[in-house]
Amino acid sequence: MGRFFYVRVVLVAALLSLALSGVVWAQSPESSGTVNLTFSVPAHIELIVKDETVSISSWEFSGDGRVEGESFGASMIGSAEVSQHLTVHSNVPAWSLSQAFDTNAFLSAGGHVVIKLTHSLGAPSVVFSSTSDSNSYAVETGGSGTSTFDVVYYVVAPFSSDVNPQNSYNVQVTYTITAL
Amino acid sequence: MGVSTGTRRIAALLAGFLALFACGGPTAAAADFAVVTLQLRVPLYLDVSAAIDGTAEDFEREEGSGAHVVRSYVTITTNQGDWLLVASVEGWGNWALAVPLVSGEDVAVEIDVAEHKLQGSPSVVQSIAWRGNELRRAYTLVERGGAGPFQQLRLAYRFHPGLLQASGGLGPLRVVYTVVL
Repeated sequence: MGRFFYVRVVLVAALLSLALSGVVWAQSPESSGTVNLTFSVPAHIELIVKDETVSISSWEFSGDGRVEGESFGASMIGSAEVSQHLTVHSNVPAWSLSQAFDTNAFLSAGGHVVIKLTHSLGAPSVVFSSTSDSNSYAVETGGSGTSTFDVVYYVVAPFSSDVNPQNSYNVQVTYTITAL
Repeated sequence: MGVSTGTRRIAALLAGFLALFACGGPTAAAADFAVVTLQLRVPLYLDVSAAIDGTAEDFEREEGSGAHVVRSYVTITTNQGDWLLVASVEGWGNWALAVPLVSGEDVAVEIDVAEHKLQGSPSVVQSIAWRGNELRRAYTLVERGGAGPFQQLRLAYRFHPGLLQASGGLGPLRVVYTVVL
């Protein structure tokens, strides 16, 4: 009897555990899943100008009026150098930078403006040099990241022009950066 | 009752578009501009220089009158449109001086110690005279300049030999040119 009782107890225990595990299995919900995140990072381009106003204070007389390889005749030539003047923050792979001169009294009187843009970091290299004569859109391209530029402004007042030393002049330069 | 997977995906896409719209979207952020104003005031520039083509030994003997002539020029460089040139003449000796004043490059200012004398007309703009023992006088030579960067006036000083003899010789002569804006 003792041995038969022991077998029965084992069987009952086995059946009981099987039943309990079935209950537990039956009560377990789905424990894993997948969430799909769909998004697009917006393109961002930001142009920061260190100084919105630049005063030309350094002037000298030049008999041949040469600036950046161009000759303007006998002139008064003023200049101003601004370090890390332009900063571009961008996450797009390609962009272009251009500039334009407004029409103003100084240019109408026969004055000239020459802009030389160089990279601030690494070896100095001229990015572009443009003059107000053609009002050309000199273009520099770049990519994602941060780019800084130094700018040198040359202002030329030829003696043969109608630029009046008694007057004050404001010349506006608009820089535009566009994603390509 | 649960939400179907397809419904969830559609809702997620709508939320994404709304988020992009709220941020302005890639098109609106793909350009930027900045304006820099250059403030400038052109300084006034003025330079006056004078030179003589040679020394006293280089005086030329003028045929006919017998006068001694030495040539000179004054160069004015300025970016100012209007100016006056003033000459201050200093000399020694008992002699008379006349200075007809001219403009342009080809007609000379003439100094004649004998008498008032205008030559080179019609370019002569003014005549000035200096007589006796006056040692210093100032004269206005040219009324206006500014058409170009380099205004050059060629001058010639003529000395009449007869008066030089009468006055016992001509002492040092100095002419100071001053531009007045």
